[in-house]
Amino acid sequence: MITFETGLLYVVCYFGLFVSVFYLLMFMETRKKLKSPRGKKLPRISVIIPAHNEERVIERTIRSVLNLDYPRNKLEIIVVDDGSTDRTYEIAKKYESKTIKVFKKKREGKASALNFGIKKCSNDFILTLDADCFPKKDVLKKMVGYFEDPRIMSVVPVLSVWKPKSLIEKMQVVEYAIVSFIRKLSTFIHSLNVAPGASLYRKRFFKKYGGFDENNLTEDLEMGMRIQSKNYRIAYALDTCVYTIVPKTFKDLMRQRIRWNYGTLENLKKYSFMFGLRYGDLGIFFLPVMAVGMGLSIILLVYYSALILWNVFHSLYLFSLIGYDFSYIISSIRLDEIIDTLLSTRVFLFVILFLVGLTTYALAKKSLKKGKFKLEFLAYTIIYGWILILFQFLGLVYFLSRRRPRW
Amino acid sequence: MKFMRKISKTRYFSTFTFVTLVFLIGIIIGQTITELRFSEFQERERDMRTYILSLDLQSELISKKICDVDIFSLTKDKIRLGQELDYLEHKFGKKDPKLLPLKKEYTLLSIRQWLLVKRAKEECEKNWNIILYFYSNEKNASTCESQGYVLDYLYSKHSDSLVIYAFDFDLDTPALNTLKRVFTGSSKFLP
Repeated sequence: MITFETGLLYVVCYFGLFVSVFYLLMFMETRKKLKSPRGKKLPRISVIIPAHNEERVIERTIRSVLNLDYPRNKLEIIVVDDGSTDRTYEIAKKYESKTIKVFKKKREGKASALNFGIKKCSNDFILTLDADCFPKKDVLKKMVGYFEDPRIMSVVPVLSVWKPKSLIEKMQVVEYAIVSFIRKLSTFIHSLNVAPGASLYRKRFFKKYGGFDENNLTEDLEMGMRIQSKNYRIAYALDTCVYTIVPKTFKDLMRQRIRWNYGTLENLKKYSFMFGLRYGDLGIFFLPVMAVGMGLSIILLVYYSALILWNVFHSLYLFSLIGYDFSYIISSIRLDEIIDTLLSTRVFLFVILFLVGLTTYALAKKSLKKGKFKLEFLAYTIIYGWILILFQFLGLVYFLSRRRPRW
Repeated sequence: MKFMRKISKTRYFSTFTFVTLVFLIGIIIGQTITELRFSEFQERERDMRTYILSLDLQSELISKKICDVDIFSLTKDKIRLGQELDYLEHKFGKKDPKLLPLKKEYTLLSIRQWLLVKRAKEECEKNWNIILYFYSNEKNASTCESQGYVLDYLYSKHSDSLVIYAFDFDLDTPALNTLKRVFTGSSKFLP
């Protein structure tokens, strides 16, 4: 007889294995195509930096753009201060020149600041760069080559964690590595659906289909979905990166992820018409995997949290009945039960998923050429993975209760 | 210029074939292990039955010399068998149809053994305490589980003088129904 738990685990494992094997097969087919193409010419590019209360980082961001390995005369930098109450505007203003223009507007959110910048820029290609992102020198040269394909509307670089110190930051290093690898593979089935913090766009897309959605909580995901919905492509440059400052504390991470998860649900709903055969692999694989994956993770989290809590309280109650006789508690632990638990379907299936995750991480590390394999992965799987699912659950709660998370 | 979307049919097919194959192999291995575990249990139960039968015959043959037979050590084997049954119940669910015949047989063995132990206690004037415990997995299951835990604890503290026989009240076998009627006055309701 299949219990609810066994059934759930079978479904999760089949799903997890299917998705992983699908990506691994794709990796084997495409592993020689991971390098970015070299562009024949270097077009003029406008860099828009929206900033709200970024006095601690704005200077470094501007400098990192100025230090890019790209002809200075082909760059235009537009800093848009979105109603900062600190010294962001004054600091940026110091750098104002023929190349750098600094604007100040009342606070209306990042999407609004980006749209303001788009109106001010004069080039056909636009790099949107969050104020807490610092691009690697070669980023533009690696990205522009993709635009020789006229169907590509946006190019996304790898996002890497800037100087990780705390455990939370180190966990995000692993997460970002895996996500980057999967994003690159997604481009081979034309399914990359997000253009985060530092992405390069063709301006004509904005002209034809409008700028960033100012009412959307994750405007970068919305833009990615919109590009896909119009049957254009998003490319991913795996061999360069933009460093970003990530949340350092649990609280900040939670706030960020609840917002992201809320935004994901909001956009999946908005673009629900893209599910199905009409959108090819995106509609029958990528988007359903996103939605089902989120649902299954949440069911797993709720089920196991309830089970663990019940077992802890129940055991404590039983121990209280025998006056907490620890000598008995210890002597009643049966070795065959422990061995059996270790050999149980539950553990066996999780081990399979763990090994699949491990392989993905190792391949991601190799493809990103990011040093040696680190043991952070273990902590990532055991702790961080569950924390991420918890944030998905909270995002869902916010979404269902129509409570919009704050920035 | 827009592009025409495609569906990676071959890739989906290869993935589906591979993953399904891995899963089927996993399920077959799991089934084999389960079968082994079951047959191991059945074997032990057979040994136990032979042992009880021989004791029973011995006690009949030597009639009043039941005190010469080491009946008490038999209870330890029964407890081990009971633990094994607990484990199988935990693993496959208490209502697994494969388990039911094993459980019925175990119950009959327990009743047979209880009769022998009872007789030995009376005839040999042994200072043993015998507990018959009726539990239910359907009604008051959590209370029964707590009581079972306490009984296990008591047994661990007095294993040289205490014998516990636990019977599933919901099990429908004529011998157990008679026992239930004798002790509870009804074969349908827990006291």
